[in-house]
Amino acid sequence: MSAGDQTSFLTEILEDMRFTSHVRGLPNCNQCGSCTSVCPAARFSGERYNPRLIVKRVLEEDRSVIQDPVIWECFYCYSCHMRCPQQVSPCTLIQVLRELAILGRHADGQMAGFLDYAECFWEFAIGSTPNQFFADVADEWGPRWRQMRREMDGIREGLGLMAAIPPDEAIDQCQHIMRETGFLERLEILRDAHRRKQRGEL
Amino acid sequence: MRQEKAVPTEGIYIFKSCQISAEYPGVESSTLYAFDKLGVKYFNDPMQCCCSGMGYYSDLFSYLTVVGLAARNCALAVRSNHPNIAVFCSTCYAVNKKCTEILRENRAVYDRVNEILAGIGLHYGNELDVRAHHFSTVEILWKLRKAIRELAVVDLGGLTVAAHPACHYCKVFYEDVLTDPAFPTIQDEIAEELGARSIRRFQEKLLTCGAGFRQRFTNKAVSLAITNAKLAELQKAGVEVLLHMCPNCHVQYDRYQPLLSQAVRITYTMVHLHIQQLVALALGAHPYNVVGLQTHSVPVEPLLRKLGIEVPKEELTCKSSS
Repeated sequence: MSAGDQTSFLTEILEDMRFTSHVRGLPNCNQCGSCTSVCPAARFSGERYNPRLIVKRVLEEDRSVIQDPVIWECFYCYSCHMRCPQQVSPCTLIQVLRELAILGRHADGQMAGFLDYAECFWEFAIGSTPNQFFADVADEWGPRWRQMRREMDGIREGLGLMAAIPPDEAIDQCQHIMRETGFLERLEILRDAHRRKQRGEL
Repeated sequence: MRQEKAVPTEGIYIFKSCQISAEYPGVESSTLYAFDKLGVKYFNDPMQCCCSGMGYYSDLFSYLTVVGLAARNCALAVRSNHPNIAVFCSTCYAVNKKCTEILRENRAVYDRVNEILAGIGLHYGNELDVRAHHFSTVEILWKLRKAIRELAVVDLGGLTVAAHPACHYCKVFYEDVLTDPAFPTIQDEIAEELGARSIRRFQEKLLTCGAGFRQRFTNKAVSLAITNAKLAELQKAGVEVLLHMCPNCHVQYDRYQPLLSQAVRITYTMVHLHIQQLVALALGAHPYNVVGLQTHSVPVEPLLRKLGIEVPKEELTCKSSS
């Protein structure tokens, strides 16, 4: 998706493949607020996050919305998507807005912490908790969890399960798909964001 | 409400989950145990790869990458003659269904994806007779709940449960939900069949678990406030087991419950099980060697004792000590 001024912001957004037939209602939003009324992020943040207002800004062609940190507060729970009487799916809209923010390099600060997940996926075709957050998680989830993680390979074997990481041939195939679909370019953005964070620029 | 949704019990392609593999592998072994007992034939393919949903919803992947990976898994399933893809994780469920919707509706994406798949000797077919379909493994167990009752060796009578209906099962493709998407009872009905009393309706039933993908890491105060709201309501209601059908939710409640108990000074006592694990226990599965309860943060042993299931001491010592 380009950020050219020739195309309307709304049109550009609606061209995204995620706006499939059952979520094509964005132009028909009547600002009823059903989305915000069921949104947990709105409820538990004192409405700092308000999906109705984000939809409104997009309909008003307000491109600055992609630089507003508030779009990073959606939980992707799809409550708004399910309740919207007009099939607007604010949740899907947020996914597209965040991607525009990332590609426009307005979201390096949001992305820097997640580099390890992407690196892990590239190497093993499976995700894992990003190392940048691992220390927090290990502290909060406690010694029982840390011990379990250390013993996980043996536990899986005891349960009769195959290895979690797929064989090399499967990883090669996934890397082919990732390479051909622009994943390495995305990975470069994440690496650069991570470097910027390490240099204290974010 | 679409109770009539056709759920297959044949041609099943097992779709493994990264979070279940890393956190609660007993969900996978419990499901396979139950399928074996019930005579459900399946193919567990080592070549299947992760759906990438956890990464996508942390905003790391373009959707074309996600669709490409989904199309590869579908092609493998169809090629193996097991086109009915049965997922453990609700994120996998919705991500995969969304990808097949895009491949059906968007010719440009379909062509590009097949061009890419041709490079690894695969093809994604859209035609009805060669198309892969996605189901939750819980849907298959729901369909077979009467047979499960017939085979059960542990009575869940006297047990009070409630279900956390995973958002990405019941809200993304809400028209495809078994039972009522506004108040899904798919897990409740399985547990009730086994004798448990389920609190079907409660105020926070549809509230998200609070994981929110990146929110768990970057927006912790709001994330945990959401998690706590459901725990607080269900503790008051006397719930002993909260049932899950998504590992993301299971992690959020089980891993954070001890922390939240301290933070809000309420002793939360409920344990967290995937419904597949409860089914396996009822069918007589070994608590550690099949159900994998040693990987849980909230100890499940008090529940086992209540149900009259022997707690194997040696496993408890070596695998479940804290």
